[in-house]
Amino acid sequence: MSVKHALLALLYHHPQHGYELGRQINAVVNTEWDVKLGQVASTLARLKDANLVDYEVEPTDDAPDRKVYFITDEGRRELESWYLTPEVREYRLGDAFYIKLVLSLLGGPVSPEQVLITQRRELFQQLHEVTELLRQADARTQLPWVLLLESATMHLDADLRWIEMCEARLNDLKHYDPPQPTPKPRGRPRRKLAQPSES
Amino acid sequence: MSIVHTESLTKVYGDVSQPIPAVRDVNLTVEEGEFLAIMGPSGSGKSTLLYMLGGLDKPTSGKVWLRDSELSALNDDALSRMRRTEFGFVFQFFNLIPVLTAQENVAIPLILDGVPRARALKQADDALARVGLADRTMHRPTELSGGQQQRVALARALVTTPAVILADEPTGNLDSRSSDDVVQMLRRAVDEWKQTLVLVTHDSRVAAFADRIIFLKDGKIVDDNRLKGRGNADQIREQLSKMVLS
Amino acid sequence: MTAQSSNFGSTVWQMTLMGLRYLNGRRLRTALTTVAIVFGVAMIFAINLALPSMQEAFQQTITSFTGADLSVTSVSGESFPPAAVLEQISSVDQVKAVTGILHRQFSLPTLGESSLGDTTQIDLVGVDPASMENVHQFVISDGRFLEPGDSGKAVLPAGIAELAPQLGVGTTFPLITAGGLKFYTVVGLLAEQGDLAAPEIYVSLADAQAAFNQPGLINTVEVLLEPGANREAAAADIQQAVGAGFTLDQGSNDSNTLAAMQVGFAMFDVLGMLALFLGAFLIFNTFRTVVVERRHDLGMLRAVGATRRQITLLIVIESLIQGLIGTAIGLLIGYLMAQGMISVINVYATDFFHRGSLSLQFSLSGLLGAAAIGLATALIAGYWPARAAGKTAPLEALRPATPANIQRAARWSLIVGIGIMLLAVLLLLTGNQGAAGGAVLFLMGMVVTAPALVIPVARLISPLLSFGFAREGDIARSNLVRQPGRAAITASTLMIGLATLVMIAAMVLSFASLINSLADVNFSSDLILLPQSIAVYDNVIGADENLANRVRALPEVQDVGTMRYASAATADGQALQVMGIDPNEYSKVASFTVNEGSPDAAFAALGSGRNALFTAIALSTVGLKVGDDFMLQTAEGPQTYHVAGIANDLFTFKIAAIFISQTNLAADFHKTEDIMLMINLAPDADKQAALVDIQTILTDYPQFTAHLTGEYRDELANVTSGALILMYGLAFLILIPAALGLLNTLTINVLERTREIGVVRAVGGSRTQVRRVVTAEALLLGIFGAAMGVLAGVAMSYGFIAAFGTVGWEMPYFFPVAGIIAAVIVGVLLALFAAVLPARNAARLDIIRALQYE
Ligand SMILES: Nc1ncnc2c1ncn2[C@@H]1O[C@H](COP(=O)(O)OP(=O)(O)O)[C@@H](O)[C@H]1O
Ligand SMILES: [Mg+2]
Repeated sequence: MSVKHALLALLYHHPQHGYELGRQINAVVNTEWDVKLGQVASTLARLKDANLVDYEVEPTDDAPDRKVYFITDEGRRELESWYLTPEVREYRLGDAFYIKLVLSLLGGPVSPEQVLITQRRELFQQLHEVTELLRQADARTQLPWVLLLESATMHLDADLRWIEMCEARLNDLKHYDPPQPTPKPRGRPRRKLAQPSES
Repeated sequence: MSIVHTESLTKVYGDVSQPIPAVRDVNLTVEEGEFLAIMGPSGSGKSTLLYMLGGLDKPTSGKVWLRDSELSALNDDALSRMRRTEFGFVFQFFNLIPVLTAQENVAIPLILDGVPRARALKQADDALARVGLADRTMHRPTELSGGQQQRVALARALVTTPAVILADEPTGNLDSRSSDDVVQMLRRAVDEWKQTLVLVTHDSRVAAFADRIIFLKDGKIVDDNRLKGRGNADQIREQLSKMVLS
Repeated sequence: MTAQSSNFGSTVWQMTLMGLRYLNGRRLRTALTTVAIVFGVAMIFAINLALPSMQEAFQQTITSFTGADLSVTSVSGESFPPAAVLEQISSVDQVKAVTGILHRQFSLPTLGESSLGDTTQIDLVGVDPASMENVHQFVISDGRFLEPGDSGKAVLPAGIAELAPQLGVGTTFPLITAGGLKFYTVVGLLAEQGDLAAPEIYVSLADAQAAFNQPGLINTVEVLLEPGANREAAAADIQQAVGAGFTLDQGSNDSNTLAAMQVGFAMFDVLGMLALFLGAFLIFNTFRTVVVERRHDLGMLRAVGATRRQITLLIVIESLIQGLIGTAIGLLIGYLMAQGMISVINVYATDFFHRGSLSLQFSLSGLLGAAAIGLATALIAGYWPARAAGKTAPLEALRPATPANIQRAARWSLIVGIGIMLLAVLLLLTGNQGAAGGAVLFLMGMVVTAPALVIPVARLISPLLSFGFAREGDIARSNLVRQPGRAAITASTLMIGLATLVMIAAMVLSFASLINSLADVNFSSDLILLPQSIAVYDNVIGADENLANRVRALPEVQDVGTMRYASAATADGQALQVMGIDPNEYSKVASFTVNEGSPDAAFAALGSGRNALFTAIALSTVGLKVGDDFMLQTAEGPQTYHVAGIANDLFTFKIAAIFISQTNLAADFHKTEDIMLMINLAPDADKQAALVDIQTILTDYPQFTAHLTGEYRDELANVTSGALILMYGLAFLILIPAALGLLNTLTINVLERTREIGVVRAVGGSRTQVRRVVTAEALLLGIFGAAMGVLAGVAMSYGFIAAFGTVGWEMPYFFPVAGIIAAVIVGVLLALFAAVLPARNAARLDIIRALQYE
């Protein structure tokens, strides 16, 4: 997630002071995502360097003059292309649990069933808790938060279903013969003789 | 305190030459006020177990108690009375009598029990209000959505304030929104009205509402999972933040 | 638990509401099922309303003129010499006055100049004015009452002015008598007159005796008791005084007519019962389907705590609702039908009821009886399916599919059914009265066996369908055998209807042959003179010997045989009609059919002593056999007659009658009136000329009509065949419920398979194919029902004809080929007809909705 695009998106609506931007970014997205003011300032500086935003100085009486930032045409284009670039979630191919399950299939102190059950317990515990949070959340006032929790339940649900599938296929898995790593041929590869096919 | 209790509960379908064991040797205790979910692959005996708990089906061997009474020792009439006073049922399909209004459907267990019709209908109205259908009392089942029908069925299960509500995949036929409504309502029945609930489901997200999940496989309980309260909520928040910020 | 019993009503009320809504949800089916109940109840109620009304009217007709305290008549119904009886009665304590009268009620011939205007029937009462006035005071509105010494004088009811306005004091009118037309002068008008009765015309006793050719005789003694007398005690004393040959307060033998009518009405009653029987079948059939169809609902009710009994109650209530609706409509229609019958009778039976008309007597017991029968039918028919419903397991609600949809016919039905049929055949072969029982038993056996026959028969006859229904025939067959019970019941209803048709066809053939052979014996003469009515002779005025003598004197005439009539009773009071013939004369112009020996021997027997020939019916009514002696109540008291043989003729074969010689009739019954004359002409005589001559003589005896025997016989044959066609009409009435049964089953089959039909359509079955499947199914049912109907019909006709033989109507048995062909055709047509609607409904099913149907 980039703070950079969040700032651009906010400036798109109207020019703002850096401090205001910091507060708004927390309010709009959600309460849990705490963006530090320093991060906002440094990001704005980088955006200015890249000519995506610019500022005007607004003179004040007592304090140092405030910089009011606004989005440039280039910034607008950048924002547009960001919206139109889909976000791709990584496949969790390197999942730690997956390694655990596959290793348990080789035989060991704990059966693969037990490994699955333990994992399922944990996932259900998490799902239960997220569900609790969801029940407490108010969809009218905390819609972004609710949507986020929904996303979590769906991912947990997917994990649970995957476990269910593994369980259903456990018997097949147990009989699965891992392919033996083919021994690396030593020396120079011999040339195969061309042989007439029999068909 | 335990309210339902089984001992070596076993159900075998089919004949001697080709026995189909549906439930095998199940020892289960359901606590009063508990929300218990039963999960397991299809054909694992969930429904069979539930029906035996509610006196809808006779065990091949083993026993079921509701508090102090043993169900298999009762005759058909006593069992029928038990079903209309002590149990409330919610099923996946064919849940309501099509020629009766929502109100009458809910009142049926009371009427069958001999409660005067006017009073039974009044109680049915109250139960319907509790499931948020106060404005649908005179509708026929066909005039209601699937979710509403299931809520009527729930009201019918609640109207007698039974000892246990038994639900067999009550959300199996519903879209996720209606499914959510129904489960929320079931959860409220447990939390606010102190009902005991045993629910069979395929859906993890429904089961996650429960206090306890048991898993069946080939008619046997393979896991009994008590879910803890919300002690870990902060941790979850943190995890979520990380997930979002990654 | 107290709540349970005290608020049983709440449950019942809720169930009633449910039942009403279920019925309302399937209106067509409800209507079809209810129709048979409507039909049956209407039939029974109509009969039970009309019959008592008519009975009462009859009673009024018979007894209306008795203004006295008691009246005494002979047990035989015939006339007797007054002296001894009057003496005996007046000697009884508490009797104040007695008078003897001679009266007879009779129909007037339609005379051109119309002696009494529109009056069709009168009661001619001969009184002794002196003693009559002691017993009964008449209120005179004009003129005077009869006085001693009056002759040719008459007193009429004032009301006659409505029918014959020309009559008044001083006018004269002609009246038929046994001695020819006689003129009377009106001397007075009576103020009082019962409305329905034939008007009473009072003449002097001597005039009445002349009119009936019964000089010196009376047939009723009217008795006035002392004021404050004990009626019962007095009646007992009088009975004691006159002896067993007399009876008190008994109407005349007019009740013969009533009895004949009752038999006719009994037919309608039987029809009503049959309709209800079929109605029971329909209800049973429908509710069995209902239980299968509603297993989810019933299972759900069980799951939420309904007991078995409550479920049974639910279905019973539902069938009772149908019963109630059907009964209510049936009662209404029945009432209208009774009204209709009465008005038809009023039109055609003015002979009996004279002016004024019969009015329908509402009978509460008739209503309650018909209602009870209708409700009981619904209750009984609904109970068995209801019990099956009670056995629905709660889990039925939760199973989406119906694995148990295919029922299996119980093997016991085959064994028991064949057992019953074997027994039935044994009974049939005995050839005695049990044969009728055998016929009914055979029908029952067929009903019981039917479910077991469905599968093999369907397999057997479905190849027949392969001509027109190559592909659909097999589907239809498998559809049918899925519910053998239902198919069997449907075929059984059809069977009953068609069996009745076959039976009636066979009986008609046999009867026609019987009547033909009987007509041979009655109609062998050249000419025949007939009274106003045949077979009911009580209301007939015949002729004295003069008529026969005048006819005999005609040059063309060779032989004249006459028939006379009297009423009699057996020792235990059963009425017998007595026909008097002169064996010598009669044998020349007519004959009998005799069961044993020859007609000649029978005539010879009548020639001597007190010998009697019995009709077969009479013999079996009385319970005697040939050679027995028996006691007959005659006008001369009990007399011993000898059963000389069995003889039937066309006029008497269906009544309890005996033949005796005219000598005995005159001696024992004081009857010398000829009521029928048969005439043989000389070989070269001109028939038409003779007819004209005789008709000239008959201007004095307008109560007779002359016919060429051959012509009359043809006319009679037409009337008979008309009556027989009416019988066919009855058979078709019974086919109505059978057709409804077919329609019902086909409709239910289609409803039940809505989903399947949807699938067939979805995978490409055409509307035509769907329609043809239903039609093929109907045809299978029709052919099945027709086959059973033919079998049962043959057995039934054989049984009944054999049974008739034992009561004396020996009829040849004709195999009813035409009836069988008709039954098969009717069965098939009925099936096709019944299939039209369900087939169209099936073909028009909306595929999407059919697939969602549950
Ligand atoms: N009425 C029945 N007759 C025979 N077998 C049955 C019957 N009902 C259920 N079974 C069998 O019992 C097993 C458990 O069924 P069920 O309890 O319905 O499973 P679940 O509800 O978990 O899907 C299955 O193998 C099923 O085929
Ligand atoms: Mg299940």
